[in-house]
Parts: sequence; structure tokens; C-alpha cells
Amino acid sequence: MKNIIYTGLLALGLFSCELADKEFNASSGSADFTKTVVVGDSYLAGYMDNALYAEGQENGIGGILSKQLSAVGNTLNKLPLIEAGKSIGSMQNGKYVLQIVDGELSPVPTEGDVSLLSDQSKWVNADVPFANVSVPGAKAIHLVSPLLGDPTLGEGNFNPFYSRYASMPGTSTVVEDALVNEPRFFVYWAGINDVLDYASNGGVGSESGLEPGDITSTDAFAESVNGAIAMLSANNTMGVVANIPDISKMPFFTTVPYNALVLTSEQAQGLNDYYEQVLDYNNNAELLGLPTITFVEGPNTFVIEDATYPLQIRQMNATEKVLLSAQSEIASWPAGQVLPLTDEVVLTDSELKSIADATTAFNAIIKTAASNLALADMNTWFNSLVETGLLVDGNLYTTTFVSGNVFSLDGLHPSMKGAALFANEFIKAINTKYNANIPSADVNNQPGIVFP
Amino acid sequence: MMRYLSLIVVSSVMLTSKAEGYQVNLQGQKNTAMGHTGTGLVNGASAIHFNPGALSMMENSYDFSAGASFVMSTVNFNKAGSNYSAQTNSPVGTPFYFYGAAKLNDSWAVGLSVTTPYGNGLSWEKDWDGRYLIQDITLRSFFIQPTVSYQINEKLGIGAGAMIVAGSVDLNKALPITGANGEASTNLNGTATAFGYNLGIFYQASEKFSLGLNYRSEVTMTMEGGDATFSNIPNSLMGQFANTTFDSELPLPANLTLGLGYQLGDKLTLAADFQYVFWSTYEELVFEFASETIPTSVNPREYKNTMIYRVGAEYALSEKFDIMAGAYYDQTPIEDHLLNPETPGANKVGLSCGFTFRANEKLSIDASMLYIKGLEREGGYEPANFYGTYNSQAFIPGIGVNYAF
Repeated sequence: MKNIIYTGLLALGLFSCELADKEFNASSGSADFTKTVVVGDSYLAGYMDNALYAEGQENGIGGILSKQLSAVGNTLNKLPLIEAGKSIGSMQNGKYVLQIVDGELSPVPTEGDVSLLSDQSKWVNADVPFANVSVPGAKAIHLVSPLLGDPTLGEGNFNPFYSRYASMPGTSTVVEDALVNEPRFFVYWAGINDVLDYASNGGVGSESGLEPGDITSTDAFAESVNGAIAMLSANNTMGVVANIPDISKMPFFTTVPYNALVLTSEQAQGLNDYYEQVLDYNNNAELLGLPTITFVEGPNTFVIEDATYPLQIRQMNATEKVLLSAQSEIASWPAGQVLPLTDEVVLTDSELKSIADATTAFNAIIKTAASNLALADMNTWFNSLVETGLLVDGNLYTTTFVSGNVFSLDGLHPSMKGAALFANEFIKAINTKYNANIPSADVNNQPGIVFP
Repeated sequence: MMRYLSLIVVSSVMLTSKAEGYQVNLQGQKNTAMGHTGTGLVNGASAIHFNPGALSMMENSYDFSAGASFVMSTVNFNKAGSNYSAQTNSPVGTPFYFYGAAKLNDSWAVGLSVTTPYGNGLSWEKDWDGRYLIQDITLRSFFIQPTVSYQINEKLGIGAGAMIVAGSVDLNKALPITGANGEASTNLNGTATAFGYNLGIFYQASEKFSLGLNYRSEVTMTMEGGDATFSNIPNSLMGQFANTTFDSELPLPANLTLGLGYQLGDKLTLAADFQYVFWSTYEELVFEFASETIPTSVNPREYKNTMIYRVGAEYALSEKFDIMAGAYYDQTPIEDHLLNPETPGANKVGLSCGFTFRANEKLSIDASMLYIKGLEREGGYEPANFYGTYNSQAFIPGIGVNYAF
């Protein structure tokens, strides 16, 4: 009798003790990811919170991609890491952290470890080759130029982020350093800084040039991108390339509204008196048939400097952008005074048009150059992210500054969670083009921005 | 009655959802061993739950039985498009039952039951990928059911019970806010009491063939003034996340069960139950918060009505031993696009066996073993864009004691 019961229980037990586990079936499709290099600018370097630091590098777009591609055989993931606990930004600052300043949450720069860049004994040139050779601040035109990392040009004339790990500073180029790895696959994303450098400086540079602050000339851009991709894809090396999103929709350009000039009634009255009695602004405006300015209590449209305007200053249009950097300019106004915003912290409609036109032209060049490669359409994807946000595993990611969780505290570069969103767009494009099955990164499990 | 109730609530057993949705069908070891059939059988005091109409047919004057099951369940999750996987680490659930019945005379019988037919106990790791949907949930319910049953004639019995229900819900989920001590989270904790009824009719069609029909009504658990508390909120955001209270509502669906019984020879009893569960009442789960800074949380559920097909057999092995076996197929009420890690349902196959050991004329012991396999299911919760493949299984040993005279 007992035997029957035991037999019955045993039969039940044998049915299945192991819980089924539907494992991810990674596959490299028609591509070879065994040696993958990452070539680009701040975005692929993992520059975030306006600085380069180890956690950001590892959790940046490039770092995440190297890691995810290891599931399909990638063996290269060496980053030119900043020493743990240190950080350095482009203005000698350290990484930004959130703090409460005057009762409000604000990104505040920490102290930068300047010697990481200025002291050549702290450079890591001996450790080449690196799998990720992306350079913060670099434009597409820089990635094929040996001048980028040439310290003999003197401070301010070279990019020490590259010099610190270049195989031969002043001689090697970023793209050449990538090729030292003998890559079988490459990730190339450059061109954002070719428009962003102009935009983040308020459009004071040229709409077509090669100097800092300029939008890169279309010819130079085409030559650089075509050259870089030709070099990287030699020997039938496959790769993924991304285009340029609409940078004017990044929080650096969208966080301060055009009408965020909040005045008390006394301030408004004082300004009206000043504009009438000292500047005689409205009479002059009427004579020229231009709009007059009247300040009121509450929110007002900012007045900006505009050298192209007959009266030199004017109120902004609602479509124009106040840069995040305007906040520190406003904070530096003498107590009680309200000044026009300078050209450096504003993008006017014509400057925005230059940015949009260049972006369109550059993206056409990128599309042609990538015709045999996977192309991540960041431009289309970023527009939808801006419009609707992206719901990922129970959290809605948006481009709202800080709280949206996509952008880091500089408002221009993605946070560690945001970087995973961008990385997943690369992965999608690779999977589609090469019929591969690369696992996407788990966005929610990336470290978040720490609130005080 | 209220004193009894509070005692039970304090004892706070943890239930683990073992039928589909958040139903727990473990209301009698003998029934469980037979695929949880019994609506069409005269099967002692558990008729209070299964079919109050059959209670008046019971053979003894007094019948008491009590028992508990030990639910060891695991759910496995593989995220879509990612190599991420997670597994629940749920505590052992211990649903229980108590039945006491007395025959007053040839026609009337009365009874009282305490059962736990709805519940859910599921714990994912605190830092798992779906933590913004759910970290862990404990849903408890206790049904107390005074019952009367009347034998119209030798073949036909009817019965009715009043269900007095006490329930509670306690769930944790993470918030996408990181402070110096890690991520913030929220806890929702509330209790409710509610009422329902249980009706049954039993008909002994012939010496061999019997059938029964049972209807247990829906019970709506309305939580008012539950506590919503927040943990690990960074100081700079404290103002937006002050602890508050919430109102919510959870329906425990109605069941209509047709049960058949057939006596094959002297020793073998066969049973089949068809249990229709009115899940479609569960349209959404809404949490309304007293605090104005916390928006109302609306979570679509849109459950569908389901059918559970059950068969079971009992064989009288000897004077002292009966053995039982059964199987069932339980449909999920949850649609593919609303499959939520809080209640990761699947079509389930249950296989059961067990025995009754009669120590003496009055005392017997029932034991059962139930294995449930949730069929692999791919889907996700669209409102959270959380997709993957779920696998689940449970081992549920149970033991009960029966005293009748």
C-alpha cells in the first residue's frame, strides 16, 4: 500500500523539478563582433555630468555597447579609464553633483582633478591599444587629425582628453588608434560636436568653419566622415554608424523658458522707466516700426543682445532658446539689476536654422557614408523620445532636465540610464542590419542620478 | 465572531496564489487530492465550501475537519530582448481550512467554515528589473461562513451560507528616484471587510450518480484609508512624498461550479467539476491617494472569465486506507498584453494525489500532494512596457485531520 503512495509521489516529483528558463539566444548573425572598437566623441566616451570619470565611462554608450557585444563574442572592452574617484571636465571642473542651492536643486561642479590632463606622467599612453578611443569634445573633423592630441600646440589648442591615451600624441589620429586593434567590427558616432560646439556657445561662431565654436563646413565634414568610415571599414570590417539628433531639443536648450524673467511690480516699473527715460526704446522702436517693450509684474520675455537688430537689443521670440548656461549669467547680474542676455547664452531663430540646416546636411552625408553599414537613426528616435518619452519596464524616461532620467546634470550628455537607451538604439540597428540577436541593456538597472 | 476574526487576522499566515489570478483552490485535502473536485459529492464537512446543498446529506451527526497546505512556488522571468532573468523567492504560503458541521435532525444541518480561497504572496528581489511594477505583494483573505443546509427529500438538498470576509493587501514597489542610500520605495498596506454568500444544490440522481451546483458570490474588498508610506526618499524631495493614505478596491470574483459524481463498483468514486470563474469583474486596480501631490494610480487588468476543468478519483484500498488522484486544467484570466509580474498568470495543469488514513471510526487523516505547472507564457504588461517569458511551478503538500461521529 505504502509503495503505491510512494510511487505516486515519486511520479509527481519526476514530472519536473527544474523550472524552465527561457534563456536569451544571442547570435552574431552575419557580422563578426569578436574585436569591436568604439570611435566617437563625448557621447561614446561616456562623458557625462560635464566630466569624464570611470563610472561614467563604463556606463556610457560606448562602455555599454562593448559590454553587450560580449554576449556575441566581443573580446575588446578596454577603456582609457580615469582613476577611480576622480573626474575632469572640459572647463577644468569636476563632475557635477546635485545639491540644494538657495532652496533649489541645482547641479554644482565638484573640483576637477586637473592633473589628470595637465600632468603627462598621469597619461595612459603606455596602455594602448584601447577598444574605446572616443574623445570628449571632438568633432568629426578631429578624429582624422593628428593635431587633435598634439601637446606642442600649447594649452587650449589641443584636446588633452585624446593626448592622454593617444598611441603617439601629435602623430597618431583617433581613427588610426582604433585600427591598432585590428577590429572586425566598429561603432562610429561623430558629428554632434560639429553642430553642438556652435550651439552650446550661443551661436557666436561661424555657420561654416573649422575653428572652435564654428559649425563645421559641409565639405570638411564630408571629407572627415567619409575618410574615417573608409579607414574603419577597410578589409570588409562591418560596423554601425549613427546620425545626429536635433540637439536643440536637449535640456541644455529647453530648460530655461524664453519668458522666465520673473519681475516684481517695482522691478517692472523700474525697467519701464529705464527703457523710456534712458534708452528711449519704445519711441525708437515705433519710429522703425519694430515691437515695443513693456515689463509687467510676473513672467516676462527675456531681452537679449542682438547685433543684427537695429536697436541692438530686443525681446526674444517664443521659438528662440535660452541656454542652461544663462542661469549663471543671470546669477552674476549686479543685485537688483536686470540686463539683456548676452549672445553667448541665447540661440536666435536664425542660429537655430543654421543648426537645423547643418544637421540635415550632415545626416545626408552620414547616410550615404553608411550605406553598406548599419545606421542607427538617432535623429528620428530622439525626436520621438522628446515628444512622448520612452516607457521602459515601468518607468517613463523623458528629456526633462534631471527628473526625466535621460540626461545627466550637464543637460547635453546622457546619464547612465540614458546611455543605455541610446546604446539600445545602436543594438537595434545592428540586429536589423546583420540579422544578429544582441541582448539589449537593462536601462532600469543602470545607476541613477543621486539626489541629496 | 469578531473576536475569532481578529485572532485569525493576527495569526497572519501568508498565502501564495496557486490557482489562476489570485484565487487559492486548496479547501480540503481530500478534495485537493482529487483534483479539487467535490461539488457533486457527499464529502463531509468541506461541503460547506464546495456545496452547502450537500451538507444536509452528510452521514455523521458531527463532522469536524481542519488542515493546511504548504505552497512552495517559484516563478521564473526572462526579459524580452535581454539576457536578464529573475526568479521569485516567495515565502512558503500556508493556506488553511477549518470546517465544523452538525446534523440537527433528518432535514437540517448547520456548519461553520474558515477558509482562505483568495490570496497572493509573491516576492521578487528588491532590486530586480521590474521593481517599479512590483517588488513583493501579500494579499490575504479569510472567509468565515456560517451555513445552513436543508434536505428536501432523500435525493435533494439545498444550502446557503453567509460569507464574512476579512482581507488585507501589502505591497512594495520601487520608485525611480535615487538618494544617497539607494532607491526610494513605496509601501501600500490596507485592510477590508466585506460580505458575500454561498448557495448550493445537490441531487442524488441515482444510487451511482450524483450532481451538484454551487454558486459563490463575488465579494468586493473595499479598502479605505490604507497606509501609503515612502522609504528612502532623498531629503530634497521629501515634500513631494509625504506619507499619506489611499482608497482602493479589489474584487474577489464569483464562482459557479457544476459537479458530477459517479460510483463505479463498491470501491471507486469518480468526480468531475466544471468551475466557471467570473473574473471579468476585475477591470482595473485603482489607488486613490489622499495627498494631492501623488496622482491616482490606475492599473488596467481587464480579466476574462475562465473555466477550470477538474477530474478526480478515490479508491477504497482497504478498511483503513483510501487513495485519491486527480488532475485539472486552469485557464488564465489574464490577457497577453496585461500580464503583470504582480500576478504572472498562465494556463496551469495541476496533478494531485493523496490518501486518507482512518485511525479509528472517528478519526482520519488526509494527506495530499499537488504539483502545478504553469505553461510557459510570453507576454507583458503593456501599460509599463514590461515584456518577457514567465515559467512557474509549485509543489503543495497538505495535511488535514478529520473527526466525525
